[in-house]
Amino acid sequence: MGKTCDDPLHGLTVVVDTPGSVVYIGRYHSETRDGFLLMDADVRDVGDPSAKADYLARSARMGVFKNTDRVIVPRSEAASVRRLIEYADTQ
Amino acid sequence: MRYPEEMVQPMRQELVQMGFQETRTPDAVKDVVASGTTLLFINSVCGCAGGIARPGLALALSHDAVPDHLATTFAGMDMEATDFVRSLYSEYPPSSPQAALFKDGKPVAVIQRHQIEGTTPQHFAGLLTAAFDQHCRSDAPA
Repeated sequence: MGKTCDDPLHGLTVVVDTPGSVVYIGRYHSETRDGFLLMDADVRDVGDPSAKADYLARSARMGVFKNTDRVIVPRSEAASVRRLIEYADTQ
Repeated sequence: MRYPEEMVQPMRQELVQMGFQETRTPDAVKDVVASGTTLLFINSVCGCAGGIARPGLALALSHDAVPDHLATTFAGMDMEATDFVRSLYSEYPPSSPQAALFKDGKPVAVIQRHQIEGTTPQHFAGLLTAAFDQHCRSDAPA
């Protein structure tokens, strides 16, 4: 694993999506042995997975509704890691 | 926790040199946004976004339509003023840096950190000038 600051996502606001109804939005710090470390994150269970697209589009428009200082998302839970801004097009 | 003033001073000066007025108290913010159009920039030490935003501001200010007033507070330094700015558009979560365009005291556009980081000064300038075109021209809707 390289230095944290060499990671192209370091410092950027990302969405770590899961196959279920939970989504993680936060500032990507690094990929650790245990998973993806996000800072100032919004850890959100949107209930119905079909509501996720709307929630992400709203976050892309408004910003991150932080509810967690620091979270590690287990790699096994992550379906994708994308920048939040990419979800702005889905509005 | 505040940063050492000597650390942020060059970033403050960058904006002052562009013509931004430093608004370090809630009253100063209230006064500057009260009438006409005002771009209020929440400055930040963040290298990922602040380092893109400041040159982006300079580019945007060479546009043919610009706000009547330019003002700035510094996140993590001018705490009360920054909190007051954010209270004016509390439906948006806080971020820094952050840019907000006001018209006669009301926020009409807010640009968040995630729209700036990882992009370019030109991209940020484009977001700003789109808002200027919509709200700062003499024929813009009231």
